[in-house]
Amino acid sequence: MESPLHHFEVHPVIPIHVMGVDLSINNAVLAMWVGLAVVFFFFIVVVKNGVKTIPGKLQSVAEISLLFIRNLVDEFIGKEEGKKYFPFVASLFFFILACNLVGLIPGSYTITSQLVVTGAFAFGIFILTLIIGFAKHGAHFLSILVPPGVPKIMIPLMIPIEIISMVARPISLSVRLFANMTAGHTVLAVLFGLAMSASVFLGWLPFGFTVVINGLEIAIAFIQAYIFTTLTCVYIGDVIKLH
Amino acid sequence: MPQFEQVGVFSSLIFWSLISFAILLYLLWRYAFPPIIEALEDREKKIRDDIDAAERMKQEGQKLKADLEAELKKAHEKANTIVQMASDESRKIQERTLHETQAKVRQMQEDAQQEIQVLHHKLLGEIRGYTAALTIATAEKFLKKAIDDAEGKRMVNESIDEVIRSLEKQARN
Amino acid sequence: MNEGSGFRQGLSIAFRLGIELTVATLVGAGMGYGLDHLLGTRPWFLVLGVFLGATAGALNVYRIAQDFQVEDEGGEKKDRSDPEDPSGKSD
Repeated sequence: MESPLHHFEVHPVIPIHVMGVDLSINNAVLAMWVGLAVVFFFFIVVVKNGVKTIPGKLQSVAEISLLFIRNLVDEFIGKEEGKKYFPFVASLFFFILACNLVGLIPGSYTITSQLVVTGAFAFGIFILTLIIGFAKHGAHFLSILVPPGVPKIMIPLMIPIEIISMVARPISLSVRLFANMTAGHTVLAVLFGLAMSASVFLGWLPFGFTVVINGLEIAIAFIQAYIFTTLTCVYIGDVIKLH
Repeated sequence: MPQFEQVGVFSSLIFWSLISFAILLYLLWRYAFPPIIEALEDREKKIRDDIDAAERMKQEGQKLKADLEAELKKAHEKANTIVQMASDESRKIQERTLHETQAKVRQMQEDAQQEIQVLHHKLLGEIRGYTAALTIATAEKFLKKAIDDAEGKRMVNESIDEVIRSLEKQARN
Repeated sequence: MNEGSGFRQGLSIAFRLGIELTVATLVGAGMGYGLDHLLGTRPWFLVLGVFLGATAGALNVYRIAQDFQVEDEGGEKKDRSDPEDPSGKSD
């Protein structure tokens, strides 16, 4: 029985090296592209079918998901400000959801189980919130480090605490997604390995578990995509509202 | 864990995931979201408009209903007034007719009474005449033998007066 | 919509609280460690960083919980006003 962590290994498919940097297209990237292609073609089919006032099934799905994200954006960023960030937030949601879901296909790869990927996204969002904050409030944005209603004596103490809590945000954001995806897939791999190695008349037991856990993993894929998106909205909303 | 051991693939993973996200963001932003969001907003607007229109129509209907009810009430009142007036009129006519009839009847009664009175007087006169003549004739024939004229006339007159008094007494009773 | 919002709120909080505390402590420790490395003051900034990090984590958790409470009270208020709603009576 091979290691359950074996399927997290990345194998280059088309090696590309640019100035000594490895930019090879590997199985993880290919799996991600499959997921993104599905998302893209889903929306293209909806739009090409003609967006109707009375929606068909596909259009309903697209509308419900977009409406869901729009409510999210409205709630945490604000109705007016939210319009600007909606496409980014919605794309982020579909990107993560597609990557999470495509990984559930046996033999495929979940790129969101790579901490560097989730970390890159979280870091990008962190930088984005800083840019938005400084663009919107200028130097006054630094007051986000001092919560309102704090006595003056406490300020030197509060500033490092606030800096730590701000830096902790993107890290917890990326770690959460990475950990959930890795854990789920590890459990699936272990169970599937058991099903393969067990005798025929006992094999159905772990296999049944695999099916159940797979269903659970689909829910986790949605929940994690949702949480990542929600927290992105919360962080953007925080720097826009500034307390 | 391979995620931390395969350091060499990090650059390609980060690069391709960010690039792919950027492309997805561009494509969805450019082609997919606007028509769908527009349809959503159109529908929301349409629903809101429809609700507004329905609300307006409802209000109009209620106003119309209230108007009609007021109209109906007015008509009812008018009808009632007319019926009232008609019944008043008819009662008046009835009363007037009754009065007239009563007056006529009374008149007729009075006329009849008067006529009876006149006839009564006339009859009395005639009876008196006849009686006088009869008495005179009788007395004349009777007294031709017994007494002279003067005494006879006085006695006749006395008897006439007695007759009239008794007649009048009868009539009074 | 309100019901869905409450559900979503609860879901995100359930998945957030645990990791928030740990990560903040680790970040504090890491920052302290880095400062020590730069200034050669080991282990003082590391100790300070762990304490500040734990505080920051607690603060984050406290804020999330506070948000949740506000949300919850809002929900209750809505529920209380519901019986006055004529459409609610027919149910």
